[in-house]
Amino acid sequence: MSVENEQQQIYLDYAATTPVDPRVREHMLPFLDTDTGFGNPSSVTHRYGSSAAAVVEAAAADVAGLINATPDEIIWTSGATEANNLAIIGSARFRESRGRHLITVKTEHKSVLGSCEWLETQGYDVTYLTPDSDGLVAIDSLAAAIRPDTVLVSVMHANNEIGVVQDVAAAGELCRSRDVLLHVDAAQTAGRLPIDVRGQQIDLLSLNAHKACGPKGVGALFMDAGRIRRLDPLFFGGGQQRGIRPGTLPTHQIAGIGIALRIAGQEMATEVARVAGLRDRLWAAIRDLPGVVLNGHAEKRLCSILNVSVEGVEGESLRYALGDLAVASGSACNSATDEPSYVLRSLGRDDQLAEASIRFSLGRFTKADEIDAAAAMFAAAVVYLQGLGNACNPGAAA
Amino acid sequence: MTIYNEAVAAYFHRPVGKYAGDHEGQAGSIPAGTWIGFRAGVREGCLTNLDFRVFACPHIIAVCHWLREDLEGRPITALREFKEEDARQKFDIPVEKAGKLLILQDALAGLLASIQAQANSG
Repeated sequence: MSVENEQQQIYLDYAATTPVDPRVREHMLPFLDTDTGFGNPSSVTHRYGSSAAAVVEAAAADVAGLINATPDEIIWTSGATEANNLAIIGSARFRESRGRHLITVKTEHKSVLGSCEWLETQGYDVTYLTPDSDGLVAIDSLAAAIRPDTVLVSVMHANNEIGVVQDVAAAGELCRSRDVLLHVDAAQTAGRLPIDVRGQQIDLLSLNAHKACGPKGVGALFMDAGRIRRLDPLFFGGGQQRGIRPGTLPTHQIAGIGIALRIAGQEMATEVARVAGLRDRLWAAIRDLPGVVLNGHAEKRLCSILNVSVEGVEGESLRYALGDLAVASGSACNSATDEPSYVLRSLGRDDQLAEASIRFSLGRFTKADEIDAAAAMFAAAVVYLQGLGNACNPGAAA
Repeated sequence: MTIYNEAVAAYFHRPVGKYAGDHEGQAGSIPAGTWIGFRAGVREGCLTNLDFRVFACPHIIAVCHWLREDLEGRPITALREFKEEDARQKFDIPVEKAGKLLILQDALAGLLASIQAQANSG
């Protein structure tokens, strides 16, 4: 199935997940071995446990180093979804004597929105800010939404669908001045944008490994030790991680996120420039196709994400016509949900444009020839489908 | 997540003509997600230069290509003989897309009505 019948497989879905870097894999393997590194990091009374604990401590130092935190401010989770849940629900519950109002943005990740919606069922009040047509949140609108009973603001660093980057430093300054906690979902930005939790005045920050060429199933939550005494836990058990997130620590996974984020930080400067160049090469190749529009701000966006919609093309057919090109689509028939992208709808895109959207997301292993081939496949699909529909006259149709 | 069978793959991408026949039938709308138009000429009671334009999902595009090839040269009454069940089976079309097949049926009926209206006026 394809437009040209014979297409090469090209992976441009790095915002969904990334391949594990061989260096990360090699670093993780010893901790799955039967005679080294399998110990429980909490069992520090013997060498198996203490050597595993040392691995966990080293990984915490790596993660903390990427964001200008300290290792004791890192809480391990199963991923960014859990980190977002823990940050939002945990802080709201722990601080509920101060107020029960939260603020977030309509275009946040579902794990943020879902946490907020659950809190609403528990009697909390949530304000959902609407971004502008470029996907940006105005700091003035955030300032206006803060109330005396506001306990938390949750704003993502970069949007997972359109790649738009929010001004989290401005949000941090505002929240700090109003004594409100700021949570930032940085699932897409570790290793792609500089993060400085001190300079940007971020109180809680969610990270994961698998968007940065690390393993799936592990993430981290930064919690500012000077600002937050504790969070109400989501789970209950053995008291690990001060009871905030109990459960036996997965040494191999934590080793994986540690080295993945260390490599991401070390290579950020060169990788960001290289990937941004490829993204711009792709945009230059498709921007003049009829009906192609860019979703999200043209400049304030991540190096790795290009999201476009196509006028006059049906979304499901657009995705189908792209064959083996591994990209994400706004089409409801190609997603896990039954509705077109809520992010693009929040930007004011109509259903047709939201459905006929494609997210190209690039990463560490993307090559220039793949970008050129992807652009050609996309152009062929658009030209074919627009040709099929060029007599459409919806005004005359029933 | 929609799955597509081999018939959809075989018919999805095929050439279309100039959409220049004298008669036209169309149904649906872009805001509703499906629009289909058929055009054809008539020679000695048979369909000629049958062509279509479509804004629809891969299943419906494939059915349009199939019908274009199947109906060309056949008597105009063949436009009435389209059975959605045949298309559903051949292309393994999920039941939730049954409404789209009815739109397609309406477009074919519109084409037949256009042909018959001219025949009656002539």
